[in-house]
Amino acid sequence: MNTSQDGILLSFQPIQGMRDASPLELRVKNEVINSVSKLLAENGFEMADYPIIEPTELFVKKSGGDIGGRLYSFVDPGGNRVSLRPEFTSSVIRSFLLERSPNAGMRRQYAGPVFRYSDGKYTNELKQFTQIGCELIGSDSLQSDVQILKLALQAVSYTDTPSVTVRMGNIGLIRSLLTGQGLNETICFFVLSNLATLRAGVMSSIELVKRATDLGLVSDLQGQKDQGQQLLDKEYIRSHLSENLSGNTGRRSRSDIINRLVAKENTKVDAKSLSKAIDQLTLFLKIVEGEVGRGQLLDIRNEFGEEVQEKINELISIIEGVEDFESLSVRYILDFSTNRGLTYYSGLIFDISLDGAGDTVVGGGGRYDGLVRMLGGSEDVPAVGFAINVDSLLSSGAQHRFTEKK
Amino acid sequence: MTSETAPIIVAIPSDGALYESTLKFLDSCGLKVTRENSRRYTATIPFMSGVSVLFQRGADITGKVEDGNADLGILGHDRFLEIRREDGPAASIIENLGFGSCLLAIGVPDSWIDVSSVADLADVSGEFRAKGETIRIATKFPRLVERFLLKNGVSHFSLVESSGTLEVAPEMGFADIIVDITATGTTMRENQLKLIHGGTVIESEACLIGNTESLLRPGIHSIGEAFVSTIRAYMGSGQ
Repeated sequence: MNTSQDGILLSFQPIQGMRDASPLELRVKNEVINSVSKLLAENGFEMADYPIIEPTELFVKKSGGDIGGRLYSFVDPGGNRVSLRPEFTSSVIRSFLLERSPNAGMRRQYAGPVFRYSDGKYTNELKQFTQIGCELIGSDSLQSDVQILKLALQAVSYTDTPSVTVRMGNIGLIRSLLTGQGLNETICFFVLSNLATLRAGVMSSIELVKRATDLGLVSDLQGQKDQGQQLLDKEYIRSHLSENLSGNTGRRSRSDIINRLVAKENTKVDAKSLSKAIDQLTLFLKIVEGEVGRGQLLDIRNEFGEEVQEKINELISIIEGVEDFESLSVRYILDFSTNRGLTYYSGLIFDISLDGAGDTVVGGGGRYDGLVRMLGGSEDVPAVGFAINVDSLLSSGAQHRFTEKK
Repeated sequence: MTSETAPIIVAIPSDGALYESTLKFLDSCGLKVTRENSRRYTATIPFMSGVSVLFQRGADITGKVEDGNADLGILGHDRFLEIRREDGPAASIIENLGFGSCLLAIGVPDSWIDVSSVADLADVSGEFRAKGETIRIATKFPRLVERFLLKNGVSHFSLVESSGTLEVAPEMGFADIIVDITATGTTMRENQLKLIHGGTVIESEACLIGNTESLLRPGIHSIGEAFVSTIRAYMGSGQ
């Protein structure tokens, strides 16, 4: 409570979605962070720190989907467009690119606040929350995937949470199903961003195709079969579309425009191909979803072929690689619509939710082999990691006995 | 800002496309506004005592309602969303009043024949980036536009905030594209600009907003309710 110059009482509240931590809450939170940090350090992950503010473009596109619209983005006093970090992974990879020595891997852990704006849609979500997590860069082995999932579950097991559900899938497999149907990167990105709505039946495949058409993602030259082919020809464009190109093109050259149009037409997808790909994907999501136990086999090689079967077997191997926990019961569900709102994932992907607490997602992770190149690396570098939302974990009531448990 | 004779103040646009249409709308509702002369910024509604009208620029109405200098306001929903404070006392009471419909939409030069969607625009912003430049976007709605662009994968851009005529910005060279209000796209077309797929930031109509704190005060609440009910009755009558 403050008093202004004219004596009127002013009452300041924290910004909606942000909150103070009392000394007791902070102590419990730090105990969780310290325990998880110790576990990660024992497994070779060194703690590092990263700026809270980063260039906005580090997070947009790479994060994709949901996150871009939830950034706290602004122009700083120096005129740079910057954002409060919504996650750590992009910063860890940026740092890796600056400090890496050729062929060297890296194990890093981090902890600190992240910021995701939310409006009425996410009324119960905190806009600022604390993450702790790690990134294992340089290994593409299945053992690395196993280690990351195991560490994430171990971190959760440090509280008195009795049981969790892990929903897991493989984004790489979904991508290969889509590209196998001739879809380009932009359309894949669009479909991946809408996986959950498609799986939940919120949107039918017809509606999704219509939305893609409305967004101009599928061919906007339908009904003009010949023109589609002609637009692949630069000379045709120069001669037949010269009227349009004769206007003011601003700072873009006519060559920029023509080259991009040709490249775009070369990779364009028509609505029929997209519809077919989505139908096949919907069928796949439906067939493979379900709880998986140890030693269980899911044979879908007849419907989807050996390559898909191999990826399913890999997921089952990962589950089998994670040992049982003394005090934490874990239920595994295959759910290939899991995308975590971050479309940079390229392989294994998982979400961990607390049973009986409104299915609150408390963390997750996965493999993102393409992120290094996306952020300016000259080649793909295998990487896998996880992050736990400490505030979500503690809001479940797990904090009450945390200290005793230790 | 209250007085004995007019405890409720309704702010309405003093200029722009919504000036005439708001007066016409209130007239249709039976709330005809009587203004002594066109240079006065206040007016009355003879058929509803206790209500005073304050003419304000569209861009200032949200602020007047948030500050409590007006209790109710009529303005474009786009302007309200652009200016309102999330935790502030101003809230939308009737989101669509049925007039003043328009789009806040992206306009790109006709000559950019490779750009037909927002996904294309994300690509083109990367093209500018690769050349060490930034795509410049002229708009009067920086807050809505920035969030829309980031959500749609356009990360490298600069906003040119302008209160003047935007359609000429690409031709004059002070911006590459614009995001502006358009009802039919005609003005954009006349200035060699085109709309693109997925390029609508928001579809908007005139809306009624109110200060949720001031409207609860004794002596104000019943008059506010009467004003809103009169409008709702007109809208529910099939107009």
